Formats: sequence, C-alpha cells, structure tokens
Amino acid sequence: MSLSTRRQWAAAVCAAMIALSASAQEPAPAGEEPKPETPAPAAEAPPAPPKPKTPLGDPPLHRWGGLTIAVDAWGPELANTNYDVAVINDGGTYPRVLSMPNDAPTRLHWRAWYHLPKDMGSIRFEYDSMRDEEDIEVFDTGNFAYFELLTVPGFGGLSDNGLVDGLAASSTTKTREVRVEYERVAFESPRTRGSFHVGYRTIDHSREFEATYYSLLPPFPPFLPPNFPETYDPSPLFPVPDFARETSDFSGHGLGAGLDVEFKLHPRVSILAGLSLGAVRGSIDTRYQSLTNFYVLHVGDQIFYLDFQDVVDIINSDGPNNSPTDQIGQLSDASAVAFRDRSRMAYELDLSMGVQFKIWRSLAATVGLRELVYVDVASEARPGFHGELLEKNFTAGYEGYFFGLSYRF
Amino acid sequence: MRRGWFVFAVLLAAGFAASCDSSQPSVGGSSTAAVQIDARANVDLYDCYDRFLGTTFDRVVCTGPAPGSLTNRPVPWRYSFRVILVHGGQPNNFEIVGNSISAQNGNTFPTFGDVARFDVTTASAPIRLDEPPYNFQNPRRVSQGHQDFFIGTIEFTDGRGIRGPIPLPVVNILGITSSGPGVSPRYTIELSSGDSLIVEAAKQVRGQGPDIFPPNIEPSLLLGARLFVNGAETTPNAGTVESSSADGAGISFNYISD
Repeated sequence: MSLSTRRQWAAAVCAAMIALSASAQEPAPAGEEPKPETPAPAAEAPPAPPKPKTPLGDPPLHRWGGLTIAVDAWGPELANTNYDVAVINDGGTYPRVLSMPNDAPTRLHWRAWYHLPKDMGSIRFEYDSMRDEEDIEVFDTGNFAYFELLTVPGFGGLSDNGLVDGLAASSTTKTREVRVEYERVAFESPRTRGSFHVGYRTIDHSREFEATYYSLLPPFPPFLPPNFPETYDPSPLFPVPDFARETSDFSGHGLGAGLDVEFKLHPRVSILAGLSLGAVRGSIDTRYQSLTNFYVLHVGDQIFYLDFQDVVDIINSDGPNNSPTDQIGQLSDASAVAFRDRSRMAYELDLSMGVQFKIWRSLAATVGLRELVYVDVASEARPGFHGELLEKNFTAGYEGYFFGLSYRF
Repeated sequence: MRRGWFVFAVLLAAGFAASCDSSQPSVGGSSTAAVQIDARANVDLYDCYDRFLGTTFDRVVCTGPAPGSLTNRPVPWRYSFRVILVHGGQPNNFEIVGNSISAQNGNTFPTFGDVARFDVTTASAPIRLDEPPYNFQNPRRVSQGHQDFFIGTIEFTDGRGIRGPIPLPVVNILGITSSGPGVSPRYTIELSSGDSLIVEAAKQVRGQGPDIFPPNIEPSLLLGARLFVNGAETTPNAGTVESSSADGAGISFNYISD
C-alpha cells in the first residue's frame, strides 16, 4: 500500500473519530428526550399538543415497495497507470522516468435500489464511469537527454540511439461498469446492520497512449554560402519525428458479490464499509504501432544507411561545385502488432469506507474513501529490440474521496 | 481562554495566507548572448616602412616575405553569418535575428559582408637605408593579416614582383564595427529563459577573397567563434566553434539559455 493510500485511510478513520466526538456533543436522541415540564395549573388553558417531529430514517415500504437513489461525487485518481514516456538522463546519478501526470477529475457514482414489497430484498442498480485524460509536452531544445520508451528500439532518436530533445504525449484511460444485483439484509442488531448483494456486472475498459518524439535542434553544419546556395532550404534534412501509439480495449461481463456493513454510532451517524468482488470474462483488443526514422544516402538505385555523424560529414563535404547533401534522404521503420478478440479473465475489487450523516427523514450524506481495482483489464503487446514479442498485462486502479447523497422514497 | 485560541487561529490563518502569496519571483530570466568571429591562417611576415619624400609621407612600403617567417595569425577574412533564435517551449517558432545572406535579408547586407579582425602584432624590423629622394622610417615586421599588408606597396623578394595596395576591408559583424582593427566586434542577442540560439558562419572561398596567403602553401584558414553570455565566455551546448581548413567550410553551434 502506498504512502498516499495509507494517508487516505488514516484520514477516513480520523473523520470517523471526529464524527463520533461530534455525536457525543449532540443532544440525546428522540427516545431519551427529557420529560415535558409539569403541566400548568388547571385554571390555565391546556397547551397546544407538541408538533410531531419528522421521523428520521427510512419510511415504511409502500405497497409497491420502495425506491432509494444515491449519487456519489468523487475524484478517482488513477493508480497503476504504467504510462512511462521517456527516461531522462540529464547527467544525474540516476536516470529518471518521465511518466504521464495524474489528475483526478470529478466523476459520479450512481446507485438505485428497488425495494421489493414484503421485505423480500432489493434489486440494486449501480453505474460507474471513470475517465482520465492527460497530456504532456517537453521541448528541451538541444538537450538530447530523453530516451524514447514507447517506440521500438533501433532507429529512434536523432542518432538512432533513442535520444531526443522534445516529446509530446497523451493518454486516455476510461472505465465503465454497470451492476445489477440482488441485495438482502444478512444480519441486523441495534448497532449493526449488514447486507449482502450478488449479481451481474459488465465492465468496459479502454486505454490509449501515444507519444511523438522530436529532434528539435540537431547540430547540423551551417547551410550557408559559399557551399550552399543563398536560397537553400534545409528543411528536408530536419529529422522526422518518431511516433508510437498503443491501445487496449476490454469488454466483458460476469458475476460479483459484496457485503455492506453499517455501524450505527448514533441515530444520525453511522460508519459504512463496503466490499465487492467480481470476476468478469470478456475479450480484449490490443494494438501497437511504432514509426521511427533514419537517414539514408541514395546512390543511383542503391540506398545506404547513415547515422547522424555520417550526415554531418556529408554536409561538411558539400562544396560550391558538388552537393552530396542532395542525396541524403530519410526512411521510416514501421512496426505494428494487433491482437483482436482475445479471451481475457479480469477481476474486480471495490472497497469503500465512510461516515454517513442522516440529515432529514431518509436523506443522508456520506463522506468517505473508495478504492476500485480492475485486475488485468488492459494489456500491451509490442515488438522488442530483436523482434521478439513483449506482452504485459495492466491493472487499472482508482482511488479517491467521495461525497454522496441518498434518499429513499 | 477562548479569545486566546481565536487570536492564535487568526494569526495562523494570516501566516498561511502570506505563505500562499502567488506573486513570488519566477525562476529564470533574460540574458544577453554575444558572438564574435575570428579567422586565422598561416601567413608570412613582411618588413614594412613609412616612405617619405623629404618630410612628406608618401606611402607604406613592405618587403618580404622574411625567410622562414611562416606563422599563424589572425586574418581579416570575409564570411557569411546567420543567427537563429528558437523561443523556449515553441520549437516551431524559429526567428532569424541576424543574417548576412543577402537573398534572405532583402539585399540589405551583402552575403560576405562580415569581416574578421586584423592582426595588429608588430615586431622590430631592420632599418632600411635611404633611397634618395626617399627615406624610410618606422620599420616594423607585420604579417599578411596586418592592415599594412593591404595598404602597402609590396615588394616581393621571391620573384613575384611588386603589388600595389588592395582594398582595406572594414572589420564588422552584420554592420557592427569594432573600436579598432584588432578588436573583434560582437553581435548581441537578448535571450529569455529556455530560448535556444543557433549560430552559423562560413568562410568565403579563397579564390574570391584577397590574395594574402603565401604561394604554394596550405594556409589552413580557420574560422572560429566565441560565445559570451552576460559577458562571460561560455561553451556552447553542441556543434563546432572552429571550422575545418577546407575551402568555404564553416561553423555551427547552439546554445540553450538556462
């Protein structure tokens, strides 16, 4: 467990303790209210009957049953991103990995219960949607200290050693889940109430990651007179950027079950804890493409590979009467891997803990922390340096605080 | 007691508010880069004199080359020059801030209008006896990169005869002249943090320049550059600061501002 996660759990526990202490300062519950004062003398008019207090808690079921709607707003911070763009080797003792940034956009978590009549349990609907989009740009002109991580090794970078001085990358991670489950109270006491739920769920997960690597400021010799015409355009010699993109799309459905427990600390305050596990079988599409570029020399019908130093030497050998520079060109090395509809078993863990405050009637507010983990919902397949296939599975994780409201009709 | 806690809380909040001041000074800033170009070559030494007709100055007269005097000295060679500024964080925003390529600067400055500095070193030379009606004063030994070799009448002692004065180039870099013939003028560029500078220069071919080199000897004409940032000489990040001796060769280097 990471330090930040431990800190978040500690914060949740602290929030619970604060709620406990707050509840201790609240007036006694309705059932223990002090008795009314001694009635006035008989000669006076009898006082008006006290206005009945609005009952706190869930109303009784209607003939058709009942309905509860809950929505949580939370900032799911993406964990286990595995979006590494480059290795920065800027002369320090240890190279550093440049990864995509990680924001936590606010998302909604919807839940609805249809409570069956005659306490036969509930049908529970749940919808989650997470989306994380990130962009990064580094233009460190002339500082060829960024090693390409997303392209196929071999011809990447200015000198075909993978080093560039600029990059732009973007990543998108999307997860959508729908659950339809049957829920029923498993145990109940004055202080504790537990309910289990079991049912069907579908999960869709998409991962897109692409990067463009630039050689912005190559140390070319001068393209000046007398060796080059005054109108010479050197732009065809500028290095073509390298590019790589990978995607992974998973879609599956399966079964899950969970347990929600409420610890009643006070008529208005409870601690909620929830755990849900799921196993989902589906199919996954994985695509990868890489495009790296290198210099060549065209001599008649023949093509010779050039590294950047060769290019510099040829430009330096250019003169007013001979221009071998015109024979320099660039070629691309393209690699691609695509797997379609591969069967995949993925797993889910949904863990939450919070404090619920009953506000009015059945309106309740909940504050807490949620951890959501989707195991093996993404994968990567790309060629290695020697042409071998490198495969890797990814786990998507979301964690964040939530604030929710629920109301039972 | 409660008031004390209240005052403490107010002070704490004020402290936090002050620490969150967003008007903190930003990191980095601007700097001034300056580039100077010099040229050196293997040249011979000549003995020069001021020739007088009576008491009236007539001309500068040089004889040589002095035997075994081949040496490496600055020469006022012409070159083409270009400075490109790449603004920080905008790799596609190239700005040509200095350019002596006439087709690219609207013919406002000639392509080989830039001239490196002269050699100003002088040494003692033997006294030259009077040749009536002339007398010779101020004997000095100078190189072929010295102004005297341009403005003087050269009496070659190796059988090449006599050469009259040749045009004296004006030392400058993109029109910026120096305080003296032996001082390299500097071209300055204002840089912001993160800016990159590309400096290019190339020698004029020998066949198009003045005939100031010894015959039948490779002069090894080299073009060199020095970069100064805020007055201090600085090593560029990449590229070459000295050309090869090949005819028409040049230099190109870049510097990335902190």
